[in-house]
Amino acid sequence: MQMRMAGLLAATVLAMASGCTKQERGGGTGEHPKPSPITADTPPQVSAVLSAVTLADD
Amino acid sequence: MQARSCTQSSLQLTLTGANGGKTGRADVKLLKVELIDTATGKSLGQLTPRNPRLWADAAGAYQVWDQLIANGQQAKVMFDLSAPDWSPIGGRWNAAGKVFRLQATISAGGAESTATREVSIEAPEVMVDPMIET
Repeated sequence: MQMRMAGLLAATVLAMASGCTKQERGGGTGEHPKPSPITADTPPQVSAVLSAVTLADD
Repeated sequence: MQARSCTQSSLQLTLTGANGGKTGRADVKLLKVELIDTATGKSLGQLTPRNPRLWADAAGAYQVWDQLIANGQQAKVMFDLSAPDWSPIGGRWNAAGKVFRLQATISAGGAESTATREVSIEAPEVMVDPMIET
């Protein structure tokens, strides 16, 4: 009976430990959002440079 | 008497589209154009953009522009602007010799950005009669 209890306890501790490890791993890799893929009709990002300005007298 | 020349206020932008799809197009809007006195940081108000045009190398001239940019395209575009209101600084004469900053807010593909350029204002041309006794 004691051996069975000890075995059960060991299995529980092992399960908790492995669960903890899984959680650490999962937290590091599983929750990053995937970058959205560039499809054929994805609009481009546009950069703008103000190259010239003319101001009227009045 | 010589006729006074009329200058149209305008701005030119160089736009570059990148990181998009092959057939993707970004809709470009010039949302706001503001003139700022660099000495005081105060705004002289907004200039209204109109008449968007795209420089066409083949024609060697500006042509009507649909305000769309493709991926990999570099577009030289031009907008006419309403005339600045110089009254906050006491008129056009007081602007001579000063530096102003034109700030353009652009929306492209849903993302907003700002482009700025400083402008020096020269003294207006004045015709003065020579002091010669006749």
